[in-house]
Amino acid sequence: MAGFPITAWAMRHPWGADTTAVLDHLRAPRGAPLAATTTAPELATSLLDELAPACAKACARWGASRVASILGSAAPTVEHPLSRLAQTLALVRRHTGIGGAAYHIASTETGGVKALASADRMLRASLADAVLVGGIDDDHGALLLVERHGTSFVDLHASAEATGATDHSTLDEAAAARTIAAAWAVGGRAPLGYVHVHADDDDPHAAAERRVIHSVVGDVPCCATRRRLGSAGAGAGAIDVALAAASLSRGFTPEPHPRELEHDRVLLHAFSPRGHHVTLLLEARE
Amino acid sequence: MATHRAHPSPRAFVFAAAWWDTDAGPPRAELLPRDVRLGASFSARILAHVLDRIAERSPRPLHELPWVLGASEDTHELPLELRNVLSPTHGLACVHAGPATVAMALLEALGTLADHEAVLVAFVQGAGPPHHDPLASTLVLSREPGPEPALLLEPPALRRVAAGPIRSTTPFAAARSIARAATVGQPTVETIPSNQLDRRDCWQIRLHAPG
Repeated sequence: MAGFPITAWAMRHPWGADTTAVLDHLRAPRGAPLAATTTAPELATSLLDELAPACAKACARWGASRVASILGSAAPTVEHPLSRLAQTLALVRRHTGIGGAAYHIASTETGGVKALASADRMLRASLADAVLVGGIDDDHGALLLVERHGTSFVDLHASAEATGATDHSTLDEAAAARTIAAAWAVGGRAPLGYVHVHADDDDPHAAAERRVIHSVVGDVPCCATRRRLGSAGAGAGAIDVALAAASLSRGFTPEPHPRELEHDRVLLHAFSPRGHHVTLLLEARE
Repeated sequence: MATHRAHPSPRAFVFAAAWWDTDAGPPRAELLPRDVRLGASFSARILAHVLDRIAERSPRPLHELPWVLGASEDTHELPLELRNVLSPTHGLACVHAGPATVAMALLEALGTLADHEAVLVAFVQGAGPPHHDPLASTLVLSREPGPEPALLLEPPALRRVAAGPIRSTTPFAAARSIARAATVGQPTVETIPSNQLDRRDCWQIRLHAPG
């Protein structure tokens, strides 16, 4: 079954204002990530301005009330209360004209990916015809527009979620395996170009995450970008998705020594300290 | 968990419902072990109270259902005490949308039925912020009806209204009304503010008899 086209995306990071700049920087680093200088509302405004034409087209095509916005966010804190999330939703409406369902999915480190999974389900259930999704933190973030039909290079093909143990010191391998196996099965267990993993090489959960992935999908290259990009919040998940989509468009893995993708599919796995696991399957369009 | 890509009806049967408010007396929260209950937050105890009420009528054990939690200022994640006792395994989404949280959590839950036969939706608010009444409400929504007659929940829809609804001092009051209506089999239409404060669009949540 065909997936849902990701018809537009935008990302911001101190390394650059789009996925191409960031992927180029990953390949040939030009120094450490810059210090944070952009607040989340400023960054949201910039991303929404870039995506406004695509959102306007989606609103015209589907009707504004059939275009939803789902943003991932970290779990609220005293510094970043729930009320701040409502302000971001207001920004989305003001800059894009989107008039459908609008809400946040709060989940530290996985919010941006969970938003994609929610969008996938909402489209499959015909609760919306297009969804603007993503995550925005101070200094970095990404937004993607997923539609029922449209012109794109990459499809959101499947999603799966599970909840595992909340023990921060141990990755719940069974929960991870369930989401990875489920999302991959939806795609017919077709060969993967690489797996965009959550844990970087020096992360204490890296070995367990890779062990699970290899046990489920076989010996497939794994790439992580979070540590090198210096991002960990909800926006990091959305950035991962945007980079995975861009990697499919370019045909190379997102890492310092890129490998050419042998297959046009990427599985993306993310997990949170609270035990949420999300897996997405992205596929390049013919 | 996504095991197929069927195209379900976006409507759902309200398979079971329960609520707690101050009229119900002290929450018993017997779902929690005694030592945990004593140290649990008030929000955790009233949520445990309604989950206990709904557990025996749920089509599946609660930990085998995906969960959607309507997030409030004081409870924006599933309290850890409940998390440890119930250990939900099929996904948990904490939804926040300001005054529209009830409608948006129900939409998220209806979307979850694309992958699952049933879903648990819960709302809980403790005593704060000032002037808010404590309340907990929970629904089990299912694609198929159970053995008992059940009302159908339509996807919340935006409607233009002549005058906006009065903002309740109990932001999740609509969730209690839906749970109460479902329990007695009484159709209802709940109207809650949208996030679009500059417009007169409201979310309407319709509960009606099948057919």
